Amino acid sequence: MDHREAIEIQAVERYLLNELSPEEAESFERHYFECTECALAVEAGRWFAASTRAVFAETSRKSSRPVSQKGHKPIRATITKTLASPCVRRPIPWPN
Amino acid sequence: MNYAFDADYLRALRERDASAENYLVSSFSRPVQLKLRARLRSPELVQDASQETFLRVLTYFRSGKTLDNPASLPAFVHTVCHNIALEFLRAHTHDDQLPENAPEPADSSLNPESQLATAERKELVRRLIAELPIKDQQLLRRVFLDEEDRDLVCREFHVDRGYLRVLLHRARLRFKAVLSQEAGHAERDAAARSEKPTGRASQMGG
Repeated sequence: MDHREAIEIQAVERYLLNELSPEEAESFERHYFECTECALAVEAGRWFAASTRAVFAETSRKSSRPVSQKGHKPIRATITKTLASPCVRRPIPWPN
Repeated sequence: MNYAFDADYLRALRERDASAENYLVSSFSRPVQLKLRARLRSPELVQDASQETFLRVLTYFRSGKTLDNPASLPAFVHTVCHNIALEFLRAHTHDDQLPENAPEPADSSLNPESQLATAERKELVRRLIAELPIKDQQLLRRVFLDEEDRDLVCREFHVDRGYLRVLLHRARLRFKAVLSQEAGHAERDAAARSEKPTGRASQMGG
């Protein structure tokens, strides 16, 4: 595979998405051993894929965490406590 | 020192020239690592296989052998790397490998600076993802995190595999551009810091 063919068939993306046949993958690997541009493109793609996976994993961990672990008080306990506490009125100062 | 892959360079490798050997390792580290990471999922195996590749290539030349066509050196390194990847796959049972859906393993060889860069990359990716339409964000999530069947995901989102490739291609280019831009800014900042005298130095000087 030469550089022109690699560009034409979107070899970098296909390689990253495991869409190349074993023969095509080996041919593209042989190419990026002598093509710094393609090797850098694959490396950037791997970084992007790994970072994207990490970011999405962090987001889903945060969103799946129970509310009480986020530092918020459990809502039922807060309501119960509020209802149980006596209503305290602040005195309004008499205008002079 | 930069070398051309010619007869003189192969002669230097045969003569165990340390500079030539270092150049070989630095020139082929990236493709060797990329290929091995695509084939072997355990980072330890990747490191072992990488070392074995360079050991075999260097031993080949140190033994006095050479290549008929010096320009075929990259293809030669690739063949050695390919054979070693197959040997490692055969030698290590499936149990030694991480499962397909395992998260990207942390690189134990990363120094703190590289770890910072990784955190920066994540921040950059977060920004890039936020710029994408919700549909594309969900598509990337389903493909990269959930690792669902791509044909199924594409059908569900009413797109074809080409759309996914273009999405990845654009994101990769944008990622690379911002990385290079930020690397450029960092270099300029470092240069400016080294040129600018510190307060104490200027006080001492004045």
